[in-house]
Amino acid sequence: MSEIMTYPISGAAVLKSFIDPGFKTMRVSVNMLTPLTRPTAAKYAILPPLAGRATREYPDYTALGQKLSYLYGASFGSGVQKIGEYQALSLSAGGIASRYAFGGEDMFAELSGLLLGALFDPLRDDGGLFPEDGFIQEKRQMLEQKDAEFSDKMVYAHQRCYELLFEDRPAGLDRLGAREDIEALTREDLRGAWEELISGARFEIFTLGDCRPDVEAIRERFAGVGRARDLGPVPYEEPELRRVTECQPVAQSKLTMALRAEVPAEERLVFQLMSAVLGEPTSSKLFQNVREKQSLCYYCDSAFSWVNNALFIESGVETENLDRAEEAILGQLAALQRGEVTKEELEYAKLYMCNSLRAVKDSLHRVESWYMSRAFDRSEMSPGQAADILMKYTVDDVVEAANRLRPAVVYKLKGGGE
Amino acid sequence: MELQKIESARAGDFYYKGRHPSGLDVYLYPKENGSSTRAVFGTKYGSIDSCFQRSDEPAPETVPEGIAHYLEHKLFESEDGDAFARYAETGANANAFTGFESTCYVFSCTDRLYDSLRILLDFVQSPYFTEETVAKEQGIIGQEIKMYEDSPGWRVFFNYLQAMYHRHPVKNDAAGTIESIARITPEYLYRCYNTFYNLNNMVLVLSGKFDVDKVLGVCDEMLKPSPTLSVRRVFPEEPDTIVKPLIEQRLSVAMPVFQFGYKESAKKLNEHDLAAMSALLTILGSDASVTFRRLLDSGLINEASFSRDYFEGSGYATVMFGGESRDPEAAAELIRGEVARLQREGISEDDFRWAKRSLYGESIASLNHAVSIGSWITDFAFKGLELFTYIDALAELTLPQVQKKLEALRDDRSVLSVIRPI
Repeated sequence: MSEIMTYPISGAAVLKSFIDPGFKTMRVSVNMLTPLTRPTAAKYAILPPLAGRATREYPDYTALGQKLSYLYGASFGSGVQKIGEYQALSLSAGGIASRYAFGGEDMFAELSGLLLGALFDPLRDDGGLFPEDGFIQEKRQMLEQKDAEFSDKMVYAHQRCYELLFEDRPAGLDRLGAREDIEALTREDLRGAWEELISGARFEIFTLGDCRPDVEAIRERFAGVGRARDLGPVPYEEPELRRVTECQPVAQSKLTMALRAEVPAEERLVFQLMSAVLGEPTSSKLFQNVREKQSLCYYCDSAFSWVNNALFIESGVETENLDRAEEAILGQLAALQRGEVTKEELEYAKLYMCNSLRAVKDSLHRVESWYMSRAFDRSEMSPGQAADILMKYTVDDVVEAANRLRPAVVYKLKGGGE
Repeated sequence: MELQKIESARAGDFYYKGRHPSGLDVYLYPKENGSSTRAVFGTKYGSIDSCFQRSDEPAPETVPEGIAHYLEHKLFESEDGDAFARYAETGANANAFTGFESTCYVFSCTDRLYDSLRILLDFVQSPYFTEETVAKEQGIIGQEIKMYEDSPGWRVFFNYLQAMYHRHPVKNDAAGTIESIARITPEYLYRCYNTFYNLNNMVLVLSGKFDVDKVLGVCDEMLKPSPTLSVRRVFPEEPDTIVKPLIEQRLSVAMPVFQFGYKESAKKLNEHDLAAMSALLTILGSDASVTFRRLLDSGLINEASFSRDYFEGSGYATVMFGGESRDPEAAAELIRGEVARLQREGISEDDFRWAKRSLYGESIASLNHAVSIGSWITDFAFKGLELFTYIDALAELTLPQVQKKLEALRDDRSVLSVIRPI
C-alpha cells in the first residue's frame, strides 16, 4: 500500500508526495494558504483563475485548451476555497500517466512545466498587468459564481448559516470576497498582487498518482517563496444563540443549524464520530428517526467541521413542518446528550467512518484533501491511523462530546415568501 | 458458470463476463490497487417504463408515473428490518439510483465484501410492501420531489424534455408527481417488481478488489432462479418534430439558466456511433472549442456551469448544451450559428485530432476508480454496448464519422428551455 511522503522544503513550504503506479493518472498541485481578510479576499481570489487561463507559452485561452486536449485531455485549473480563517488558493494540473501517452510524452514534465510556468511567471504585459480580456472574463465569472450560490438553495442556506455564525469575523468572509469588492476590482489593483500572495502564503505542494517528482528540483524552485504560518482552527467563542428566518418563493423550506464546541486537535476524531452517530450514515439518529420514523424530510444530515469548531445540521422540509423538524432534530441531539446511544449505533458509526477512511487512498483528490487538512492540525496522521484511533472510543466519549456542543445559529429559509 | 475474459491492450485492463444459471448477467472487473470494491445490482427498469407488456399476458398495462423510483425506496425494507441496518453491520456504504432506463442498487466497501454482497443479493430479491410501509414513504418522496422543484438545473432539463417530446415518457419527472405517487399501492409495486426484477432482466457488476471464485460462490448461494419471462417496453409513437421551440419558467434564482439542443431521430447505437457523438460534443462544446470561446468572450456562459451532453435511450436522443447565462436566447443563437457554420465549412483535421486524443485520455482516466467502472459497465450492459470496444472505437474514429453526426443536427428540431429569476 502506498504511503504519503512528506518533504519539508522550507518553513513556508512542504511537498507531499503520494506515489502509486496503480493509478492511471497523476496530479500536481500547489496550494497557497493565506489569512482571509476583507481588503485582500477578492483581489487574491481572482488571481489563480487569471494565472491559469493562459500562459507565456500559450497566451491564448483556446490555444492552451487545445494543448491540454492534445495532451490526452489533461486538466489545468485553479481553485479558491475557504478553510476556517484561511483562503486556500490553488493551481493544479492532472492527466494520464506517461505509460498511456502513445505519443511518448513525459506527462509529469509537461504538466509540472505548465503549472510552474503559470506560478512563477504568469502571463502579464510589460507593465505587470494581467491581460484585459482575461481580467474581464474572470471578474464576471466570479460574480456569476456568487449568483449560482444564491440559486442553489441548499448551498445558500448553508452559507447564510455560516455567515451568521461568524459574522464580522474573518471566517465569515466569503471565499471570493464581497460582491462590492469584486465589482470594484481593477487590473491596476492586481499589479504586484501575485508577488504579494507568493511571498505571503504558506505552500502545500502535492504530487500524486503515477508520477515521480524530482524532490531536489522542487526544493530549489520553492526555496525562497512563501511565509511560515502557524495554521489552526477558528478560535472558539461562547456563542449566543441567533435565530434568523428569511422568506423566499421556494417549494421546500430549508433548516440549517450550527452548534459550536471547543475541540483540541487530539479530540477531532471523537467529535466527528459523535456527528456520525447523530446524523451521517443511514444508521444515524437523524436518518432513522427524523426521516424514516417521522417522514419529515428526504435529507437530514450533520457534519462536524473541526477547522470551524462547529457542527452543522441541515435539512429540507415542508414549510408547515419547519418547527416540527427543528424539535425532532433537537430531540435526537438531546437523546444523544442524555446518553441514549446503543452499542450498535456507536459500532455502526465507527464502521461507516472506517470504510470512508480506508477508501481515501483510492482517490487522488481525497488523498490531497486529507493531507491538506493535516496542515491545520499539524499532525502526520494517516487515514488508517485515524481509523485505528476512532475504533477505541466508547459511548461515554461520544456522549461527553455531544454535551460540549453549544447552540449558535438556527437559520430557516421559509418557502412561500416574495 | 462459464466466464469470458475481455481484455484491452490499450487500457491494460481486463474483466470477466458470464451468465449465471439463474439468468443473471455477471461482470467482474478486478483492480489490484486501491482498497475498495463497488457492487452494482441493477434492473433494466427505469422511470420511462410506465407501460409494458409481459410475455405471459395478452395486452400491455399502464401504471402510475414514479413507480420505479418508489420501488427503489421501498425495496430496502423487508419483513425482518431494513437493508440499511444490515449494511450498517458490515460498514458498507450503500445507496440506490433510479434513472430513465434502469434502477441500480449499489454499495462500496473496504471490508466484509462477501457479507455485503449477500445483503445486496438478498434484499433486492425479497420484496416486502404493505399499505403502512408504502404510505409512510409518501412524505419522504414528496420532499424529494419538492427539493427538485426548486432546483434550476433539474427544472430546466425536464422543461426542455417537455418542449421536445410530444408523447414519450422521458418527458415525465423521474420521481413522478405528488399526485401520481399518491396512487401507488403495494399491488402496483408487486406487479412492477415481478415484471422487471427478473434476473433475466438484471445485471450484477463488481469492480475493485475481490476473489472471482468467492463472488461466484455467493451468487450460487443467493440467486434464486427466475421464471422465463420477457417484457416488451411499450412507448407511444413519437414524431421527429418538437412540441415547441421555447419553454420558460420562473424560479428564485439570481441569473437565468438555460438548456439548448437538438432532437435527434432515436435509433439503436453502437460503440462507433457513441464515439463519434462524443467527439462531436468535444469539438462543439469543450473549453478548447471555438464555440466555447465565442460564448465566453461574449459573456454568455461561464466555465463553472456550461455543460454539453448526449442524452439518449430507448426512443429518444438529443444533443444538448446548458448552463447559466445572462442572455439565454443569445447563447442559443450563437450555438446555432456555430453548428450551421461547421455544417457548411466542415470540421477541421486539427479539431478532430485534439478531440480524439482528449477523449482517449478521459476514457483511460475513468478506469481509475471502481465506482466509475461499475457505473460505466452497468450503463453499457443495459444498452448492449461493450466498454473496451468503445475505447477502441475512439482510437479508430474517422473525421467523416463525426461530420455525419454533425450533419444530422436540424435547426427546426431545436429547443431552448430557460429558467428566469422571479
